[in-house]
Amino acid sequence: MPALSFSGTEARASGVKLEDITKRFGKLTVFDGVNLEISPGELFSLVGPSGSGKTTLLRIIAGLEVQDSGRVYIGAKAVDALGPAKRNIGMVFQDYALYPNKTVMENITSPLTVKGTKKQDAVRDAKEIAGLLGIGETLDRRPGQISGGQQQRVALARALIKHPDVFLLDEPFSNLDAQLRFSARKFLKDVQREFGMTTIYVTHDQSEALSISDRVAIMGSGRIHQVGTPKEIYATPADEFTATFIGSPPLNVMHITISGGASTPLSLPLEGLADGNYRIGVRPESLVLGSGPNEAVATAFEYAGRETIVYLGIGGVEMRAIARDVSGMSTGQTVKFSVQPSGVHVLGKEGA
Amino acid sequence: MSLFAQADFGRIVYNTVFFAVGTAAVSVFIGAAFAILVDSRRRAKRAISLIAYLPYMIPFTASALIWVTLFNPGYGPIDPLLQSIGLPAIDWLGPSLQLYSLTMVGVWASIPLAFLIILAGLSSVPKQVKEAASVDGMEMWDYYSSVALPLAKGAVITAFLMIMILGFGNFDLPYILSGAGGVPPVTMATMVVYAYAEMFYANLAPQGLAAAIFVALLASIPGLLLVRATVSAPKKERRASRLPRPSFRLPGSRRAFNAPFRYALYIGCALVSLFILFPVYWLGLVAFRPQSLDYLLPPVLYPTKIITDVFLQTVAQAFPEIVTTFVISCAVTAITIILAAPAAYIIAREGKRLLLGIMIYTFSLPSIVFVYGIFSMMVGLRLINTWTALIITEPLFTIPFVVWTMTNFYNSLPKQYEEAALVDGYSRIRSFLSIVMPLARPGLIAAGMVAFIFSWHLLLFPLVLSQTPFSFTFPPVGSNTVTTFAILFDPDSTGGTISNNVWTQLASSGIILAIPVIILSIVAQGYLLRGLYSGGVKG
Ligand SMILES: Nc1ncnc2c1ncn2[C@@H]1O[C@H](COP(=O)(O)OP(=O)(O)OP(=O)(O)O)[C@@H](O)[C@H]1O
Ligand SMILES: [Mg+2]
Repeated sequence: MPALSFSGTEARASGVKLEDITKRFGKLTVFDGVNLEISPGELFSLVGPSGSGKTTLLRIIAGLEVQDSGRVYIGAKAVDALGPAKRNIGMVFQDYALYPNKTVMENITSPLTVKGTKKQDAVRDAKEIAGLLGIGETLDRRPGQISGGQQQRVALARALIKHPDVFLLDEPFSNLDAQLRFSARKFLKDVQREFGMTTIYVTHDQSEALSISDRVAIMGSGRIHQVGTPKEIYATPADEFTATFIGSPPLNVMHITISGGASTPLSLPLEGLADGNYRIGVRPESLVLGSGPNEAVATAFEYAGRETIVYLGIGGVEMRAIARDVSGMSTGQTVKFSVQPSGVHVLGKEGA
Repeated sequence: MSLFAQADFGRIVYNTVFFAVGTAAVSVFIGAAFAILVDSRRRAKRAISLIAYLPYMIPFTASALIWVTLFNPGYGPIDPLLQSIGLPAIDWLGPSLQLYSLTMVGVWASIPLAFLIILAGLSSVPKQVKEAASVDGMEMWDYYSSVALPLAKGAVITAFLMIMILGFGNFDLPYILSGAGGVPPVTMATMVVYAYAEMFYANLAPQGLAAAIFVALLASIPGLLLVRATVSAPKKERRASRLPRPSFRLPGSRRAFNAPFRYALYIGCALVSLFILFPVYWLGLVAFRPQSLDYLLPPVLYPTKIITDVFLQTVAQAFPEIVTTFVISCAVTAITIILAAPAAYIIAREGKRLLLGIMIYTFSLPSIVFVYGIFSMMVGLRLINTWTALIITEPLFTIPFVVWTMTNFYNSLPKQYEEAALVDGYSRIRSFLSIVMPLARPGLIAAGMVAFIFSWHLLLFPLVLSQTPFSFTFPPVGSNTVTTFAILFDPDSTGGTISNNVWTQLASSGIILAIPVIILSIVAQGYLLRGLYSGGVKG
């Protein structure tokens, strides 16, 4: 990655604030009072399962969708009365939405020419940014004549060229193959560092969100469950939804009874919990196989390259564990294991 | 051949080309304006669409008759209106203006087709592209001039060619506006009307046939262009293999155009709306008021006294024609669907482009080319003045268009369903009948409606093949249709009915003509729009 510089870039990053946003589509209430604050210059991800309202929230920030009540601030300014063009945002759409009839050059310069910028200036900026993004060779082609990865860079360039205060991306990499997505992610992160604009990134891929973001908001059916750094989200999930949504393979959720300081059916490093029934989540990666207080039967193995997912049966419960080395194990065999305290989350108390 | 030696030949060619090209150019322009207006708005889309679509509900025969009443020098309301604001009266159907008046009516009647096809083109721009344009700061002019219209270019061209083809072949409008029968005035006669007069009035069949073939050659130009535009290999592949265009031709800033464009669009569409609505309003007004109110000066422009007895009397009088037309239209619709649906399916799934090209080309041939042959054949078969004659003739014209429409419709259906059915062990036929047909129902309904409306509208063939109203005797005779019924009230037509309430009856029969189409359009507007969308445009 060459050092990025871009003439006239003063990081004019603005924060974004959402206040009590509600939104209905006919009878369906998508948001009922959403609040969110995004700091200037950060790379912020909205992540959640399909249909949770990520796209809708992004579109409300962009002004493409109008909320039923509540306010949107960009910087200190309420932008509710402004159309998308007036909010000084850049947006990358999931299908890139390049103008098929225009060349790459015309696509990239269009936000400038439409504002009345001089042609030479627009062309100069476009060449510069296209060079930075590695698409300088494609400028006189049309979107139909370049690859998916190049199209995605053109979309980035078109969104960046007007120095947006806020940069919005809706699953921009979901059409790329796994390899390309990996490098695109890194690339976005570098671009964002260099340009310094506030970036809001929508994805339903929790590992993607954790890997690139400064902070993440977890969304589930129109609610924001938790906002925090990737570390906080992973280590201290605020609720069961977040705990189960984050992590791959997903959290093992089970019922645990504690009486007299001992837990059944699993012996877990739990301290300071009163006697009773609990819902407990255990991260697969926190199970250490080989020795320990617990015994389970290995029921299946799922090979995943560097690691193997081991399915364990214990007291009628099935759990997943991650193991580096499974050479000594086979199906039906009894496995001993212990659990690291950091991977255990108390999700709730049950019954009385 | 003596045709080309005719002194008036040049003038008739000029009329024909002027009418076809003028109608196509102006109606595409207006249709595009309405399409942009509807496409750009969030609200009132449906209401504006309905206005732009309204003339489609009025059969050519009825529209021509309305305009005959509007243009009538002693009776029509336009001239007194012009005079009341100090303008001179206009001799609309006089020798110097009649060609322009004819073209104006052609435009009026063709706006809906242009509107529908272009709107479909504009709506095929992906939603995200539209949003990207608004994020980029494009306003109305920026977006339509630099993104949407270039992308909808194919639709605009298709609309233009289709309307031009229909203009070359149009019989109803020039026939009625030039006096419905007899020898048409040379200042407005188009080739089709001229051919008809030669064949059936002047007893100069060879000359008429020559004229018909000549107009067929004229119509072949847009016809072949349409075939090329529709059937040629998919554009994407071709474009990709072409060398990239080397220069950056950036659109200069046209920001200054946005506001004037918006105003011009709204004002223009508002004025054209009046132009579209007034004749229809007038038709309803005149049909339901005593004829005495028609002759007042200044003209009475709003309903004062509503009567229905003349209308009902006209319906009673038209009963045999209504029955005839209804039966024939239903039969034609059924035959068309039964033959066209499988044909279109084969064309779509097996990529029989040549066959599709032939269908589109056949569609582009004016029906006047066939009329003399069919007439002679029906004379030979002793089928003149029977329902059978019309029922076996009309599918000739409905089938090509329906095959074309349905082909596009099938092309838009995902193939997986059929493939799943084949994998599940269905036979081709069973998969067509039980998987494809139900999925294609919207397309079939639209196609059926198009066939029904076409048949209900048809004037030329009933005029040639029918002689008397249906009589409920045995054996039954007579096959006059509602169109031939309606033109009898045209006071200028040869052999017209003399009636005390001729204007009221004329308007009433116009409404009778229009009602089934209006009902069909309203009941199934969604289907029709959808069917025509995918029909007229894609490919
Ligand atoms: N224009 C609309 N009309 C009606 N309902 C809508 C509309 N747009 C979104 N919805 C509904 O709002 C909810 C949130 O949709 P949204 O597209 O924001 O989800 P998402 O989190 O982006 O999902 P995905 O990951 O699948 O893109 C869904 O239930 C969706 O069906
Ligand atoms: Mg989404």
